[in-house]
Amino acid sequence: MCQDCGCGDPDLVPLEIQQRILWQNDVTAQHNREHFEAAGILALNLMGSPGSGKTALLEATARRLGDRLRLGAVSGDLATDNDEQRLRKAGIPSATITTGQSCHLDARLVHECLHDFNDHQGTAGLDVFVIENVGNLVCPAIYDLGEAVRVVALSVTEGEDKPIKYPVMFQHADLVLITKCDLLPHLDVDLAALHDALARVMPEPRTLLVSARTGEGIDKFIQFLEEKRAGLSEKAAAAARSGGVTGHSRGHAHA
Amino acid sequence: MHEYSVVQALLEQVEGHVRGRGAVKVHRVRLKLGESAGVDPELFLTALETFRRGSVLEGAELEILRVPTAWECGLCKTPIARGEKLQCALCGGPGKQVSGGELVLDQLELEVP
Repeated sequence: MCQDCGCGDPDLVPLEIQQRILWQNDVTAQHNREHFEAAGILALNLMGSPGSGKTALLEATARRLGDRLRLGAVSGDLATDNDEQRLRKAGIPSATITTGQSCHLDARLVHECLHDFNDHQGTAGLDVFVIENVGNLVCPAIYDLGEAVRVVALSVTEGEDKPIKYPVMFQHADLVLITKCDLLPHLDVDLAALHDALARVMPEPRTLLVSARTGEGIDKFIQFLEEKRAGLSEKAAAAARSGGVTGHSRGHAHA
Repeated sequence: MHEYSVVQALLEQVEGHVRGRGAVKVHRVRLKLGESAGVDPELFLTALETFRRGSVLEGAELEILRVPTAWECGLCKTPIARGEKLQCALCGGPGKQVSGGELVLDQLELEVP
């Protein structure tokens, strides 16, 4: 109430907020990140269009993995658990987040799934946890899930200009997998144009040509995972030396 | 259509500030929406107009600052022109985004009894 002249008008309080609208998601994502780091697990957010070959890539990776890394996965899917079934057949402990009408995963959904996964299948001994996002080049891009690494699958049939059309998705990717490269001899796709497009939306584009069908490039992808996983261990060791891995409270409220 | 989720997050965020200050009404809200924030401004506005009915933002004056995307060299700070490769033409350093990623609740004007 106005105290100055006694007019009785309410006070209007201007506030500088300057807070990200998705701050709550960011907080949960950071919490997930601490879960993963404390467990020494590399979390990977795998994104790409529907049909870009995300699941096939993981199947092919499982076939070539041997004892090099242990993978776990969760697939975001609007309606089915088809991807989970495929990954299980490939020997990857797996779960599904059914999103219904929602076109993306968020940190809260991943947090709930992480606890379910831990209770039912166990995350002990896993080296890499793949979060296979809903097939979509737009919506998943702005949601931090707590991953350490973002990978985008872009198949050679999708067109060279996709990075320019969907810049936000590619801009934050650590690696772009150019999938289905076994089809290249049958297509007119211009790989140089694709790399040029990527260089206009990513400051330091890193790409791998892969084929789930022939296995081309899959070993290099496994090397990428090993490299990132090793980097995580170094980070955790450095954090431990500086007095504890995380400030993560074990007693947080579970969904 | 994640714009609906973003609007829901915004409404919860504003409600939090209103509760925290014991306010009875939001008079004005200012948002910053970056060109490469990953949100379509038209869809966002449609979602906001739909969901703010009956919410804490009903009737509030809405201002949206659109922020263009800009890049510069991460090493020598030379600006990188729109549409160019995100690598410095002078020193070869990797580009760094300096604006355009904003998806921010910038200001609120609250009526406090």
